[in-house]
Amino acid sequence: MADTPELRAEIVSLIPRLRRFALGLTGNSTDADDLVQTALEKALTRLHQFKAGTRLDSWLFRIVQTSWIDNRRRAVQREDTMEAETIERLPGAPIHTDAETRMALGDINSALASLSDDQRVLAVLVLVEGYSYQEAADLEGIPVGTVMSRLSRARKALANQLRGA
Amino acid sequence: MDETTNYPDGITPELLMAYADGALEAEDRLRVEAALAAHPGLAEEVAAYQLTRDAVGGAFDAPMQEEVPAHLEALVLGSAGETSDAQTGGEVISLGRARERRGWLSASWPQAIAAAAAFAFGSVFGAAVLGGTATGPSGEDTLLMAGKLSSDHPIAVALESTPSGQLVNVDGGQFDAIATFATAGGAYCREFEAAAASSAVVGIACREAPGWRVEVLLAAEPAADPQAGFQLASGFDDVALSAVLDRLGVEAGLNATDEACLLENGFDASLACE
Repeated sequence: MADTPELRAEIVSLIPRLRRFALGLTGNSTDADDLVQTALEKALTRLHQFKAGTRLDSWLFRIVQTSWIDNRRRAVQREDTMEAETIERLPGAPIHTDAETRMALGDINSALASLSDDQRVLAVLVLVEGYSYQEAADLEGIPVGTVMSRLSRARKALANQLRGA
Repeated sequence: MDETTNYPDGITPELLMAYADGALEAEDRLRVEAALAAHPGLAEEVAAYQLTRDAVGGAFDAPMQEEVPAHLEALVLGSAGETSDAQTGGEVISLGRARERRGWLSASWPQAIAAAAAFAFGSVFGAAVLGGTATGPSGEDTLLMAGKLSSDHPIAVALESTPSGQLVNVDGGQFDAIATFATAGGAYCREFEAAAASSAVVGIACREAPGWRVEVLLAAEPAADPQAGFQLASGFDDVALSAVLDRLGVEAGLNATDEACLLENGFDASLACE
């Protein structure tokens, strides 16, 4: 698709969701914004690859995801990104307010960090971004059945972690 | 529930998850509900899926309420200019931009107190070690903390002599003054940045003859782009700096000519310049 001002404006309008997605993957806002910046830089160099009529959000999420996994493979990310200090400094550290399931963001991050990268991506796409199983399957290029089995395993593991927190 | 769980005929973890997510068509939903009625143990697994949705669902929503960070917006729109005065708690704020935005608007004290209280959480806030034994002429590290600086303290010397905008080496670290201000009470203060290999600070110091008093010191981090100067550490904004300037009664920054005059005369305003 041609690089147009409209396309760029649409990308800007998606930045809040890209940041949320990245925050779900990285667990802290500094790494999340670095990740979004890296992904946007990549996206801008390949705008021509975006197919008109397809979902721009999924296209961008995919770039965020591959950038994140690239980072992880290079193992440059410190293992201590989940340190309590970082969590405390998150802007308005969102804490779920449902009294029944109230838990600190730190616990949620720790639980997510126990998942495999693939599982975490799916968990964030579906639970945070509200993707349907089919939408997640389309984005990942895998069968919906695979999404569902991966996701159910991931969520059982998450629940165990959260209950133990 | 684990892999060894025995599921009734036709019931799978995937189906239970989809049920918990409200993603089933009526026929499957009724099938799961029948199974749940007959096998109460399955409810625990459904509850586990719901727990993950409840817990993770809104946990990362903060960016949705924040404005788009200006640097990301500018990146996409291809403009280097100020396309947004976005102010978010999470972004690393460019001091250059923060300074522009700050202007001389007043900031309220309660905000400043909240910000000041936050510094205490970090181990490096409030103090910076400049330089090292290898390069420091004093042979010792230079410790910079809020409070009184004697006139021979390397930072005091730098404050006394460095024109704004000029980067100088101080004991193996770097220092630059951002601006010089006159206060309503007739004193002079300077906003400055100082950085060493492992830490950087932004601060405001006021002339208190014969030395200087550091009024506030905030942790900063070197910008990705060295040309852009330092940035306040994530999670802080410049409210605290603004508040200190307000408290000091700062009304306006000095222009380069007036600043040069003060530097020449050792900050003695009673001496005239040519």
